[in-house]
Amino acid sequence: MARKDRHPPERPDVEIGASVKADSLRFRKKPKTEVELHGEVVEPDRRHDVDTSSGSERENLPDEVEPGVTYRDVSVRWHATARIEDDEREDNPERRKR
Amino acid sequence: MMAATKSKSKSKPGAGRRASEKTEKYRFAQNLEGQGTAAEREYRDYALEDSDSRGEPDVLLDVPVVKVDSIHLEVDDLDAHVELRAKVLDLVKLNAGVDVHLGKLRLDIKGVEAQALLKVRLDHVAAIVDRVLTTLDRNPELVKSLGRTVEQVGQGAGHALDETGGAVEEIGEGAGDAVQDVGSGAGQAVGDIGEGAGQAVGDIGEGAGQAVGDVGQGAGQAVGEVGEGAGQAVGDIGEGAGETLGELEQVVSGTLQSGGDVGGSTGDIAKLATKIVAQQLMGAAAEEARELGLAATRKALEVGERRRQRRADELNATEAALRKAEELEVDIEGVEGSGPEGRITIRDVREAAEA
Repeated sequence: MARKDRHPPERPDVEIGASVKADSLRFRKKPKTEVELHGEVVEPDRRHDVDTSSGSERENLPDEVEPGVTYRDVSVRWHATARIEDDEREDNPERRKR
Repeated sequence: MMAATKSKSKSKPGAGRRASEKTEKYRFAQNLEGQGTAAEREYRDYALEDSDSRGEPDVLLDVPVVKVDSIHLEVDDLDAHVELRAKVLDLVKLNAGVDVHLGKLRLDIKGVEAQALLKVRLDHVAAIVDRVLTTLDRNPELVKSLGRTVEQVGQGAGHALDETGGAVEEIGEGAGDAVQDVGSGAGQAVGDIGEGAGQAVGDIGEGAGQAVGDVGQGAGQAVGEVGEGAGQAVGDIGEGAGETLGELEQVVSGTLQSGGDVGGSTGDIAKLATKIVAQQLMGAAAEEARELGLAATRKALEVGERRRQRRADELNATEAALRKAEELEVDIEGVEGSGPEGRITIRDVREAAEA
């Protein structure tokens, strides 16, 4: 029942990770959540986007939880990353190929 | 009477054993590490994955494993915002953040183990700053066109290096202030938790906040000294990292705010856990502030060294000669080199100074 959907970039500049494990978990109401990642880098002569990613790995917990249901042995790992997009960065995989 | 006391001591759960050998129930209540709960194994896996494939971060804010027996959580429209911001004068601006919105949430959770990590790597930020400063070195006319920013950088100075040298002092102060901000911010955040969980935590917050503030002064001083010694723009990294540190305050306070919410809606166990979380966060924040100060100084030194090496190559001088010219205030571009292939040596600089 484990599920993975994260694809963090190679060597991100910023990483935030959190993990929660619980013996039992019950939602009384269906939760509403929104997560938005953003970022940019501005230099005098150029601008870089920031490649962001986030995802979670869950065990014994569905994508859409049902109110009133008790989920047992639950594990959730959440991960968000940000990496500055820059062709000239030394650890750019494309640059290493050249 | 003695026998009764002895008997009581014997029956105490987990007595006489190491923390990792005590019963899970005891470890849970005391928030002690065990030999391998699922959360702890995941934490170790996570840390291992990072060190193997992604390199060590410059900043690591680490809340290892926190255990709480039960939580009843009610949330109405909680907005959390975590942002990393770095700015070098008005030349480079970097931001990356997460906005999280929770609508109505009613949650019962038992047997909780949680951990959190924040990692920041400054290598590429340092590379960007280095690139911008190199561009300014090579195109000093850009400096004139940058208006107010450059006036701040180089009041009355004719050369880019002099200008950045002036900025370095500001940066040293900036880094110090930023780290102090982290200290006071973290202190304040823990103070907030203290209101919910007990006055004792507030006191911890003040003490720890003060300690981090002191670290901040030290780090700021260190970066300032690096800047003065180098006489170049190395300290700019310090400001970037310093402001990054300032933003860590938001991270810490955001995390602590979450902890406060948990503590406010649970019983004594949750309050105890909240105190422990606060203590761990304060320890982590103090340590990270110190580490970040060191990281900023290290980056400044690295960048300064690379820039000095490049400039020495451009001038066909040895790095030692370049340092000596700065020390003796000799215009090295006017010195004639006597070394191999006309390379300028320390002796050439000394002779030019005496001439």
